[in-house]
Amino acid sequence: MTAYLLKRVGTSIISLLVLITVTFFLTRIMPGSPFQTGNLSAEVLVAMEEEYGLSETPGKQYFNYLRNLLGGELGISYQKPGVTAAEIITRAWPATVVVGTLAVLLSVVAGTLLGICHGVTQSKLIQSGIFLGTTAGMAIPNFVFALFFMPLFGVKLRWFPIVGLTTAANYVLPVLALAMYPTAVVTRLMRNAYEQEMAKEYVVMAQAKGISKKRIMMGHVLKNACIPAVNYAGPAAAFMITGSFAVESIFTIPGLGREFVMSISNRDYTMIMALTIFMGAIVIIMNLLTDVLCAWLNPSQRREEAL
Amino acid sequence: MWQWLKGHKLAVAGSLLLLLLSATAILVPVCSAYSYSDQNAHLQNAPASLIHLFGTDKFGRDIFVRTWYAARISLMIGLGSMIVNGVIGVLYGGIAGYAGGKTDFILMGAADIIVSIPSLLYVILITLTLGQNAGSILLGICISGWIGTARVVRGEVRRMKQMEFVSAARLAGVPRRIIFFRHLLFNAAGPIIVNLTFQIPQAIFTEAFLSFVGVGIEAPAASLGTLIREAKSQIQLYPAQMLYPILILCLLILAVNLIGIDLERSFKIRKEGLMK
Repeated sequence: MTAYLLKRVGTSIISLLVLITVTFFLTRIMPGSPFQTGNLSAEVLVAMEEEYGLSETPGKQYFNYLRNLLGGELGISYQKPGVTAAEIITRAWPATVVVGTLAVLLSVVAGTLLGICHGVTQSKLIQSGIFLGTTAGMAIPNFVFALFFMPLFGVKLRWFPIVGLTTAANYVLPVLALAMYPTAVVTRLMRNAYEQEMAKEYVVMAQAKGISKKRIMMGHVLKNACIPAVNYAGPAAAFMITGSFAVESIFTIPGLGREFVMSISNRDYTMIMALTIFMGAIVIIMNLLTDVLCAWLNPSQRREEAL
Repeated sequence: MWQWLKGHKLAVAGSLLLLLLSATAILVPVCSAYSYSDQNAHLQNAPASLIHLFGTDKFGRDIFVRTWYAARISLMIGLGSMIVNGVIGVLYGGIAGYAGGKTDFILMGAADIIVSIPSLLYVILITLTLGQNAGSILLGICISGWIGTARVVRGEVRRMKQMEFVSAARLAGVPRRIIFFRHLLFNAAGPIIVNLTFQIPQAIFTEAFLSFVGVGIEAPAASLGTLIREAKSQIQLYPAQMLYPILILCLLILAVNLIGIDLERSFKIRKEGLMK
């Protein structure tokens, strides 16, 4: 386990470095000037480049940036003078993380239940219903769900508010829109895992011994069948973070996704860089945590990796 | 044949749907009297009619032609990413799995590092750097898209290279290249095909999502995401304008998903049958 842990932490740190490096240099070669140059004189431009540290060589800028990152400094926004990227992120991350976490939790719980329901039930009707639901959930993109929920539940039926995140009811629609696709994926994973587990010999053995179906389910099958669902938490986190770009813009939620989309349309390079690195780091950490959790739950996984 | 088709209802339905969508997407922009970018100031936001089947948008452009033109871009990105990711993934995963040892460790370690960064971030950075067009999106998708395929190929190759038929081939003096392509890859085709099929809807989704957010394909070109984004500004007045591109987008993803689900199921059944 220690070897596996070391390896995973090592690759995560390298991932983070790669992310920072790629983001830094790609942002440098992006076309266009970081400043609105329309009516600025040459001297002012030079002074501004000096001010933002852009007159130095790219290599030097890179190391400066790395050093600042270690100190938790992500630079100053080009478009909102005087506001640091760190301030904007500090303000924006709770909304995204809360909505995203709720959506991950909802999709894992609902997906697990639906998947098991599909496995346990004898009713063809329920099975077809779940199949239809997962197929639709996988075919309809999250922003389309959001675009349907808003006019339907928000404007027409007036069940939920649709702007901002002031009350608990505000969370319902964005969380639902984000959770649809992962729920469908988890349902499919759980159904497959359940079927696979039920066909295994230990289940037949337990049945032969006369252990009740309920105990076999609770004690053995579920524990093993849950591993794929836990494994999916890492990719799901990535999906939530990126899904927030669209969903937050649609529901006007003041989170990371909306900031990111805004800084892209403003060509605010420090913000693009800071947000890319911050969101990438969240996903890298989530991936690390799920992998470690899975390795702990399922020793064969870490052995396989080590081979 | 009939029996076989009956056993694969999902794949048949998905293929027919995909065929229909692709044919329309290819033919409509070529045959229509309107182009996707022609503006008509006299005919703004017209409702659906026999002349403009889906109506026109706020610049008087024919939405029918624009939607199918966009579907063509989606299909091209889907197919393109499947091909590129397939080629890179098969070679990379094959080399890692076949070589084993240190080569495998380094190659798969590098893949782990690349894949843990969300692919959408790569795509956004690249479209911002190289311009907002289909090529940059495809390139962005392909930076980490091949890794899933590579992992599948590697796993299958490692599993099979211990088997007797491979040892027999090696003893018989068959060159490694031929063992890999003819014996290993051929036998691993099932899971690889399933994996590659699911790449298509993923790529179509990524493109539509980015264009919807405003980072993808730029005007005057149109993708399904761009169309939905443009229609969103008039959602209160003309909700129908948004419905058409959404419907086509969902049908595209659905069609390929159905094929993928069916393939996955039948390969699983065959594998279980072989094990028994």
